[in-house]
Amino acid sequence: MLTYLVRRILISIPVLLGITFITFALLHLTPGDPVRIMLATEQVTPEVAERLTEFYSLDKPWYVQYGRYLGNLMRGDLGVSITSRTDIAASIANRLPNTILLAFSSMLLALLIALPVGVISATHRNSIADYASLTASMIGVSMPSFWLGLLLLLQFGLAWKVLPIWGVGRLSNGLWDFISHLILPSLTMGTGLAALLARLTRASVLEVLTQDYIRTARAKGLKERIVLYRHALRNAIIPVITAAGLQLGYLLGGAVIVESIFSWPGLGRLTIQAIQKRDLPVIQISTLVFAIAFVIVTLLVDVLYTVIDPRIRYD
Amino acid sequence: MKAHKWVCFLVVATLGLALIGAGVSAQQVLKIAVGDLENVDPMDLGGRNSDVSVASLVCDNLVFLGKDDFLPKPELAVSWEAVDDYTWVFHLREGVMFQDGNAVFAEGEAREVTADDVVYSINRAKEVAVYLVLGEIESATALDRYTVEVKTSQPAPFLLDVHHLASVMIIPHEAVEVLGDDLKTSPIGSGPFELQTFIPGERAVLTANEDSWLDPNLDEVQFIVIPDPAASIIALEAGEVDVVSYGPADEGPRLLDQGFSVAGRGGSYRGVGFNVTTPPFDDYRVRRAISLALDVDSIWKAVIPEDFGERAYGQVPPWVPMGFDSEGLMDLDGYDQVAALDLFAQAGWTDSDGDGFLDKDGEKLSFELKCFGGAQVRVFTIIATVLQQLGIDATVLQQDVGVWVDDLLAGNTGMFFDFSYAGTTGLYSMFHGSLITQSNTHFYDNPTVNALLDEANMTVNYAARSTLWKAAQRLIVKDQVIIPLYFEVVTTYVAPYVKDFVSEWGTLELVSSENNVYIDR
Repeated sequence: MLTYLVRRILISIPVLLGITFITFALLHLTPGDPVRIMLATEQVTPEVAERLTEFYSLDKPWYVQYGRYLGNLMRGDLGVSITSRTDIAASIANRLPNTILLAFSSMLLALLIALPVGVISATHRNSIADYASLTASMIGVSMPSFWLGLLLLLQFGLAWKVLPIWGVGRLSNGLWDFISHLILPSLTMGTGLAALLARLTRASVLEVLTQDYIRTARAKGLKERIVLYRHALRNAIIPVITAAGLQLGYLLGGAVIVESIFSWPGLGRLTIQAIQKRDLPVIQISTLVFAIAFVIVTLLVDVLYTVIDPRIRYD
Repeated sequence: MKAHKWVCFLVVATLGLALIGAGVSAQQVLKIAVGDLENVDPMDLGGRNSDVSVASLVCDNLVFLGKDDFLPKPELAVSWEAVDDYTWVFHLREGVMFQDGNAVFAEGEAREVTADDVVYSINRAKEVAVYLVLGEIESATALDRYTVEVKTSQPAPFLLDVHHLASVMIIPHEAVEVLGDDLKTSPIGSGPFELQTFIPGERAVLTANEDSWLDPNLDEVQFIVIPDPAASIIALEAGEVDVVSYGPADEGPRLLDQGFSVAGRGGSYRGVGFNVTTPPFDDYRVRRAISLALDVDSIWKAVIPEDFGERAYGQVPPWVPMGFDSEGLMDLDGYDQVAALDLFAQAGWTDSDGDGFLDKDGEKLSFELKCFGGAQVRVFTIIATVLQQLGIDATVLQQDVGVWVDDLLAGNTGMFFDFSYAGTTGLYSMFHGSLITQSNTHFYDNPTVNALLDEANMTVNYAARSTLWKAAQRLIVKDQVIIPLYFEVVTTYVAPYVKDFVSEWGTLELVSSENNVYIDR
């Protein structure tokens, strides 16, 4: 297992390097740089534009710029934002925990809903409960998150005034402050995810329940509860974990819309603002952070397989 | 009997307290929703409006810009004069103290703001504040404890303009030496509010500076980051914030009906621009014909709620009174589609083949209207529709902002959505011949206009400069380099119980010689 982990980490390095190059290339092929945009929209004068271009080496050849970027990265210098002039490492350090918190709470909420719903739906196939959960899943998957988020804000924040409208809560302000700020954004992000995972759980459990060993277990007189939770679910959950892991990677990429609507100070919002302003250093580092998050999550998912199914080994 | 007296006393005391408390809230806390907060280093604000607002409450500037006339008003400088075209002298307010009880000055150990601090701040801004235009300043010298002399390398009529010296915030050198990079999150100044909390991307909390030379009514000001415009309006209506900076104009009429007010000040110029070197727009008659074909009043009112914009007849807006000249330019405006078709015909564009489109030498009159988003698309859609009805194959091309910028600067344009923040530098940047391929995206080069703008830039006398500026603007509009449409006012929505609020123009003034914000619920 250790050998496998080390091998996976080593393989990740060229993958991440490749991502930095592709990101860099795409950004530099994209028309417009931040200073030219500021100049054309008269946020800066021509003399200021010239100074900024020189300061950020935007007039240097692409390979010089990439070399400097990589060199700084190796030294742990993530650079400075062009628009805010703040240290990118500090910005990411401030925001990444908020994104992780939102991603994990959304995933937890989604799993708490999806697993029971999926199992009930599978074990009560073609019943009212099954149809209801299928319908709810379809609605959940179809609802745009920006629409759902604003709807929740209007109802819970404006009409009923029971939940806060913006920002992240702090434990230092009390448990309710922390939880209340998390509810609406997690619900917004978790609803679509729960719908997706519920459908997957249902399909996976249904497939497993038709297997011979399940028939054998029932024939041996085991209680249905034990057949379901000790035998069927452990096998059925593997594809669900894969899907959840991938989705977690996407969530860690930052739910831009949800972060904007709920003023959640996460990495997604930082990245989308950087893209709008063509803040190249921030975009490059954010993309790298997302890539690293994906690598870590997929590695953890692979390790989790071995825990759930001891037959799986990576030797 | 004794009990009866006590009861009476309590009733009277309670009534008295209620009367005192009525009308003005016990705790004066103002909450302002902003799009983002990043870095409030007074020397490194980079034109980020929200950060400027926070820093401007912590620090004083030499002047602030008046709420009605946008002219410089005394702040740290009580008076000033241009001794000659190259020399300005500022006389400072005495007894102004930097804030204490912080990492720079311990409680009770603050010192007075002096001319040396102003000199230090100007020199530091020249070195570090890349977004300010201070290149014209050659030197700043303290003549005595309260007098500063500023010499410029050339006549600097815009010295006290926003983005120039008026935007330099006065800080103590100790703040830079002690705080270093922490200046981005905890600046020190002599302003009416002290920064207590600054969390980038989340919030800033300021409390009243008890030792300020101003006497703010407000006890506390909170800036809250709510980047989504819809969410910020929800927060305003829910009472979670009291002011929304740069709110969506579409919400204006509904909010006005609910009793909210709009404290708009300053904004942007919006219009149609022509690249005067690209056929067919290199022909004045074509540009003029297009202008005559458009009912500008109907167009802009269809896009912007009336209280949130103003018809433009030139590029210089009302908040730059030096160059604002609507009355003087109205005669150049016109809506006459018959005359438009006549001009097209004079330029050789007629429907010679009867297909409903104007053509010349076998080629149809066809072009794209380039824009990149928002209200521009609606405006250009209306314009394209009108032109199509006249027989012009005009289509809207909505581009990514980066592509739009590249096209503008490369001259790969014909007719485009033209805008800029409408400050004093707009006219020069957009139309001076020396700035083609930079900010002059019209590729317009008129020696007479260039000479007028050059002379205006060297003319310190306000009245004389105004005459030159207006003359240049008139020539530009007459040459039909642009079709001015409207000025879009910055929309800041204010709750009805917030009194005396003036929205930012350069700096945010919650307390000044012209206003002192308070909450009256």
